[in-house]
Order: sequence, then C-alpha cells, then structure tokens
Amino acid sequence: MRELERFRAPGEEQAAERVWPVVTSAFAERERAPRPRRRLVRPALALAAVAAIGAVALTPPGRAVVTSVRRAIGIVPVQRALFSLPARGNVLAGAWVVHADGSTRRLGDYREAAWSPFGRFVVAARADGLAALEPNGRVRWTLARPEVRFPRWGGGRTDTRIAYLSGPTLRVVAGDGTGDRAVGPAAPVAPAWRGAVSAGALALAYADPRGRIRVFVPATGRTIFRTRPGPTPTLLAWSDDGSRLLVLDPTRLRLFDAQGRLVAAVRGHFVDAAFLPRSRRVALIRTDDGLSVVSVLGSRQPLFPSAGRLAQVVPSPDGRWLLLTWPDADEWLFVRVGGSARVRAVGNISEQLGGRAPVEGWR
Amino acid sequence: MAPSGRDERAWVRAAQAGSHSALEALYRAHWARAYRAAYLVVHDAAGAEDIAQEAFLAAVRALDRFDRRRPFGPWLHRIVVNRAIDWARARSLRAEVEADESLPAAADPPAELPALVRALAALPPEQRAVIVLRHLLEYTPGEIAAMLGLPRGTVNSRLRRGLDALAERMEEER
Repeated sequence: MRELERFRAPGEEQAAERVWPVVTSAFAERERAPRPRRRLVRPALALAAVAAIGAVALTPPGRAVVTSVRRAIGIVPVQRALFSLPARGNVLAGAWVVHADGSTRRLGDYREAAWSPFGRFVVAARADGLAALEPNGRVRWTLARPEVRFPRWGGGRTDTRIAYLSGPTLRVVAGDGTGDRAVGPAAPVAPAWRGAVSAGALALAYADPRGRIRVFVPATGRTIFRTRPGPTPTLLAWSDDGSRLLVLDPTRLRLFDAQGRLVAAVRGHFVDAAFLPRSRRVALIRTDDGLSVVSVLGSRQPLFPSAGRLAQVVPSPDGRWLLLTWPDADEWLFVRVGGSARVRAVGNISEQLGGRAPVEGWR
Repeated sequence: MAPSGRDERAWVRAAQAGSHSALEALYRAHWARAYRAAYLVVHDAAGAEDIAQEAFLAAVRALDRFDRRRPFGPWLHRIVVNRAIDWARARSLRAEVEADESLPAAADPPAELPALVRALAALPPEQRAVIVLRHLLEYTPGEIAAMLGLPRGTVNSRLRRGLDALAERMEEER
C-alpha cells in the first residue's frame, strides 16, 4: 500500500490551477452575501409568482401587482433602456455591439456576427459574403460567398480560423481571409471551435446532414471523433478548457469529453445552453409544463423560472451573470449566478437595437 | 502532507472572516489528496477534477456554517468519496443506456499507472472507496463507516474483499 501513498494522479497540478479560479470566484460571491439569508420565496412559490407575472403582465391594470411580485422575487422593475451591463465586457447582438456602459454601435448591414477568440475583432455575415471587422465597424477584409450563415471564429494568439456555412457546405478560412476552402456538407447549426489548444491542434466540431457530430483538425483533416447519426443538434459548444463538448438537440443534452466519450446525457426539452466561462458548468434553459426554467446543470435549485418563452442564455465574461433573451416581451433579463438572488430586466430591446437581434456573445 | 489541526482551524477561521490567502492555504493543503482520492475511485482525470471542484465549491458555500472545532479534511473527503462513488455508478449506468450514441469509453486504465492503481480500477467503486479512505487518506474503519453512512462491519468486509481481490490481481500480473 506504500505505492498508493506515493501515487500522484495524472493531471493533478494542472487541474489544481484550473479549479482554483473557480473556487476563488465562488468565494468572492460568498463575500458579497456573507450571511446566509432566508430565501424570500421557496421555488414553488417563485414559479407560481412568475407564472402570475406572465398572466398579468398582458393587462395594464395588473402592473402594480406585477411590480410588487417582481420585487418580491428579486426582480427590479423593467428599465426602459439599457443603461449599462451588470458586468464588464461587450455584448454582440445581431450587428450591434453593446458596451458595458450601455452605449451601442451598429457594425453595418449584417445578419449575424461573432467575436474573434479574444474579442478584438468580429466576423459578420450578410447573405452574399463574410467580413472581418473591428468592433468600431471598420472592415478589415471581405469574402464573397453565397448564403453565408453561422460564422464562428476560433484559435489562439498566432493562428485563427473562421468556420461558416455557405449554403449547405461548411467552409473554413484563415483569420486573415486567406485559404478559404470547403470542408463538406453540414447541417444548419453553428460549428464550434475548441479553445485552449495549441495552434497546430485547432479543432472544430460540426454536425453533418445525418446529425453526426464530427470533431476534426482542419489543418490536417484528421478526425478526432465522430458520433453516430441522430437528430440534428440545435447547439454545439466547447468548454473554455476544450475538455467538454456540449451538444443540444430538442430532447437531449449531451456532454462529450475531448476524445468523444459520452460523459453525461440528460433528457428534457432544451431551448438553449452555454458553458460558464473557465468552467465545465452548463447554464441552460429548458421548458417544463409551459414554464421556461433557467438552471445550472446538476443543480436542483432553478436560477430563474419564467412564464415567458426565454430564447437564449449567454453568460457574462466573469460568469457571474446570465443574459436571458425574452423576445415575446422584447426584454433582456440579467440573472445573477450564485450569491444573492438578483434579476435586472431591460425592455424595448428591438427599439434600441434596430429590430430583434439575437445575442451572439458577451466578451 | 496534511496540515496540523491548529493551522487548519486558523485557516478556516480566517477564511470565514473573508481571507483569500487563508482559503488558498486550505485549498493548496487539501487539493492533491482530494483529487487523488477521487481519481482512484473513478479512474478518470476529468471526472476526478469535476468531483474535487464540486467538493471545494460545496465547502466554500458551507463555510459560514462550518464548525471550526471539527477538522476540515474529513468533511471534505466525505464529500469527495461519496460523489466519486455516485459518479462511478452513474458512469456504468450510462454506458448501458447510451452505448449506441458515441464511441465506447476507454475501459482500461493507462499502462503507465502503477500496477496497484491499475488493479484497483478493476474493483467495484464501493470497494475502491474504502481502500482509498483507509490506505491513501488513512482513516480508521470506524471513521470510514461514519463518512459513508455504513455499519463498521460492512466497511471491514469491503476492505477485506477488496484487498483480497487486489492481491489476486497483483499476483496475476507478476
């Protein structure tokens, strides 16, 4: 048994360095709420209260009730404008950049956009092409291609690439706009670059038309793994450390490790999900008996139940807030993760961002 | 090396008062043993990292309620080992119901691991857990029984059966 005492587990020190920021972040949250407080409402009451909000919100006379119930469950009244973001970073919504101080900038006439890996640039798509932009809207390069959708920019400090769909074909182009080439047929879902890897090992996950998830290295064409055929996924996303791939379809959430082994599978009606930054924790929206429930995978306590149909969940760069989009109400909701329950609601989003703008990221 | 009880109590007290450095001292003192214990039960580095991380997050969340007169280590190890057992059981369950959906999980532990560790991987998770608690973390059978919520006799029998099975496997490898 001496062997056991001397044993050093694989990855022990690297894991310690990865986990420490998560622990210290949780500790910082605890400092802001030093004394455990009695919850104002129990989850069932919260669900009922939010359901009541949804029902009453449609009738103007119910506004006072709505306001009082919102206050009771920690929601401040809806702000009429986005005066600021609750955390640092910039939100990319459609073709708009929203800065932390609430100022906004329109990038141009684009349908969708995505951040570069370090948030210094944006790749934007219009029907007939792709463009790399600075966050102030200045165009660095363009590439004419038909029916461009789902541009996604990945990579490290020295080597970045952009994956996108042109019609039914997945294509990859270097971050400087050179070397564009077709990869193959793909399902209509955004591809996902694996982060935290060296330049030569930049890997991309995408779904093919049969619903198979393929992870491969574009530089060499080497396939790392491929799943069996299945329903077309609605979302692919990697954890920041590149160790987990999240695959969402309407009835399942699956997590794979970097070698393609299934490490978790949960059945349910999932709307959207996202990894919290620098973590393998997954924030998700699922529908349950007509309610949208926001939670962190594995946690029994929902973060936020809503009678409305929430569409997207996007974590802040520090992982302490979730941006939830609620298109029917034309609202963004900012929900605190951990610590004391806090929710901020901002209305009139389409008026401020020139139409319905899906949120593409918060960097 | 485990910290002295006096150091540990001081760190817990300071962390409860909001000291980051005390929290880091606790973390650095306990991470390796927590991670190793989880690894030896689940034999998966990513799983061990998740389990150890969850245990530390649970510790942070419960820090205010923690009784400073009690040692921190056993409390953390109880979380780690119980979660590791759950994780190992869940993985075997998932392998049955989801086997058609992905490439199969690697079953054999890497060859570069010590023979004893590879032999340990062949035992059921419940036996692995008691061996890890007894021989890595050096708890007595009575303490292990309290940690896992088992009768002491069950702990002793799992230890005996586990060690017998280990000895057989080690013999086969020679």
